[in-house]
Amino acid sequence: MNRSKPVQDNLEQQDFRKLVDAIPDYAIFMIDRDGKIFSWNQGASRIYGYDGSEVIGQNIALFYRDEESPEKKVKAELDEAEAKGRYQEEGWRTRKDGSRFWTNALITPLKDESGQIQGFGKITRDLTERKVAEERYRDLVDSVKDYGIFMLDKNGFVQSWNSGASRIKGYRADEIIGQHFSRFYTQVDIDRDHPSAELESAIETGRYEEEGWRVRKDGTRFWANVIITPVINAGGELIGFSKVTRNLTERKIAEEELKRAYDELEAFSYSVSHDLRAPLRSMAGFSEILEELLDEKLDPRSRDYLSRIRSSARKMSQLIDDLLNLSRLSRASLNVDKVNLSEVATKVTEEIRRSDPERANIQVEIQPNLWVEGDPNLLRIVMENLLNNAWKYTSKTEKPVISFGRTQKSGEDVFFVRDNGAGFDMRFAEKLFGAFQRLHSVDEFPGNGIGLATVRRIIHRHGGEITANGKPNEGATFSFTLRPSPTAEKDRK
Amino acid sequence: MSQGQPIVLLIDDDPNDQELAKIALEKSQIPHRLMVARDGAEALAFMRSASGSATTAPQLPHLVLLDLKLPKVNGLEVLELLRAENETSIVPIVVFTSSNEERDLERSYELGANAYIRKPNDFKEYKDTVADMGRFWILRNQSPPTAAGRMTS
Repeated sequence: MNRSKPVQDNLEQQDFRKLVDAIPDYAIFMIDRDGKIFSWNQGASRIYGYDGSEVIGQNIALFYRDEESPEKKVKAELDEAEAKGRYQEEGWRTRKDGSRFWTNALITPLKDESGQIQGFGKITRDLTERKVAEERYRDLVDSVKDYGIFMLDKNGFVQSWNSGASRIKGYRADEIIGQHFSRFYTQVDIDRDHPSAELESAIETGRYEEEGWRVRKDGTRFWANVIITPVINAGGELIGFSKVTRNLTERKIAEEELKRAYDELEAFSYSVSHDLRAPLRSMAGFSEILEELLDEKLDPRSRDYLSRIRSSARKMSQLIDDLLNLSRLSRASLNVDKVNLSEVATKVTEEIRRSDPERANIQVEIQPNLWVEGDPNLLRIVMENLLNNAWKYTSKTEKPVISFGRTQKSGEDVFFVRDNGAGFDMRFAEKLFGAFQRLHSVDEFPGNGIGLATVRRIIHRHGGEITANGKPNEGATFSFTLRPSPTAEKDRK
Repeated sequence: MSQGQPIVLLIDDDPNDQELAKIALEKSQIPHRLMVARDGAEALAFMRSASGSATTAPQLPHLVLLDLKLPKVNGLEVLELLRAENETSIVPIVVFTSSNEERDLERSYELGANAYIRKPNDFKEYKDTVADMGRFWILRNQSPPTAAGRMTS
C-alpha cells in the first residue's frame, strides 16, 4: 500500500497531464507566483498561437501587451486570485500574431501541502464569436431608430437604452438609465398602478402588449404600441424585462381623422336618405294628385308631362336608394356562411325569367354546386347584378348564351359570368366599375351605372378582386375571386 | 269632422308631407279627425292636453304618425317621452319616416313603436299604406283602453 500509493499518484498525474494537454478548446496552463508560465496545453497553443517552447518561462503579461501597463494588470489579477481564491474576468487578449480575441479567463491559486501558494492555474476560453455576435446585436438594437428597445431590471428600472428609445421618448441614455420606467406613463396610469400591472401581466403570460398614451421627456404625449417580455436566466429566475416601444401617434391621428371623416359621411348619407327623398315624394305625389284633380280637363300633352315628372321622381328615388345601399355596403358587417353560388345563380335566373318572359330564348348554363364562403345576402346581390347585366346586354344578341362557372388561375378559384352580348371596349374596362359610369347610353341599355360599383365593393369586402374582359359585340366576361378566409377567422376566434 | 271622430295625430314638419298625408287619409274614406303637430314640442303639448285632466276627459289619438327628423324634439325623443307617460304609453304610434336606416328602425322598435313604415315615394303606394294603417289602427282597434278606463271612472 505504502509503496503503491506514490506509483498510483504518479500514474494519475501523468494521465491527468496528458488529458489536460490534449484539450483543444480550453487554454489550460500554469504560472508561478509572478505570472511566469511553466505548463502549456494544446488548447493554449491553439488559442494564443504560441508553442509551449515559445512561452514557457515568459510572463503572461505577454498576452496583455496591448494594455497600458500589462505588468500591473497581471499583478492585480493574481493578487485578487490569491485573496479571494479565484479570479474571473472577460476581456480582450492579444495572440502571437497580434490579433485580439475575447476571453473568459479563470485563475485559481495552486497551493502546496502546507497551504503555501506555489502558483496559479489559468483556464481561458476563446469567446470572440459570442462577443462579436453580442456586439453586433447591441449595435443592431442601438441603431434601430423606429423602435425604442430597452431593458428593465426586475423592479422596472431602466438598464439599457437604444437610439430609437431616445428618439421616441426624448431621453438620452445617460439621463434615463437607472430611472424607473413608470416615468413614461401618464399620471392617470401611474395612479392606477398600471406600470407594475403590465410587468405582472408579462410575468404571468410571458408577454404583455398594449397600445396607449405615453409621456415624453418634454411632457408631450405619444400613442405607443408596447411589448414587454420577461427575461429569464438559465436558472429560470426572472432577471428583468425587455421592452419594445413603437410610436404610433401618426397612425392614431390618421385613424381618428378617418373615423371623423367616416362619421361625417355617415351623417351625410343619413341626411341624404331623409332629405333628398322628401322633395321627390312631393313631386311624385302632387303630380299624381294634380292629374286626378284635372282628370278630364287634362290634354294628352299635359298628362304626358305630369307622368314624366312622376317617372323622373321615381327614377331619382331609386337612384338615391341604390347609392345609399352602396354606401351601406362598406359599413355593414360580413355574415360569412357557406354559400352555394350555383344555387344562387339558378334562383336569380329563374326570377329574371319570370320578370322578363319575352326572352325565353336565352340559354343559361350554370356549373352546379360551386360552394364558396361569404355573406349570402351580399353574394346574392353580386349574382343578381352580374346576371341581370348579362341578361340586359344580350337583348340585341341573336342566340344569347349566359354562363356561370369556375376556373383556376394560379391555384386560385376564379368564378365567372360570361355572356355573348354587346360586350365593351377593353380600353374602358376599369370604367365599368365606377359609380355612375356607363359605357352605353340609357336608350340602348337602361340602368343607372351603380350595379358594377356595388358588385366590386362586395367582392373587395370579401377580400377578392373582380375583372372584366370583353370585345364590342362579342360579349363580356366578369371574373371574380373570393377570399373571405372565414375558416381562418373562426380559427382565430 | 265631428268631435267624436277618431283622432289621427300627424307629427311632421314638412308642409308637403302634411298635405300628402291629409289627402291620403281623405281618400281612404276612413272617418277621422287629423291633427298636425309641426315639431316634437307641439306634439308633446298636444298629447299632454289630450290626456285630459281632473275636469276634462282624455281625447287621445287612435293613431300617431310620427316622423323622425323633427325640429326641437326629434321623433325618437317624442316616442320615448310618450311611452314613459302612463296616459300615452299605449297610444298606437307608427313611425312614418323617409329613413330606411337600420338603426332608426331598431331604435324605434326598442322605444316601443307599434310599427315602422318608410314613407313610399310612389304616391299610389303612399295612399295604400296610409289607408292600411288607418284601417288597422282606427277601424279594427278599439279606443285606447286607458282612455276608456279614464272615461268610465
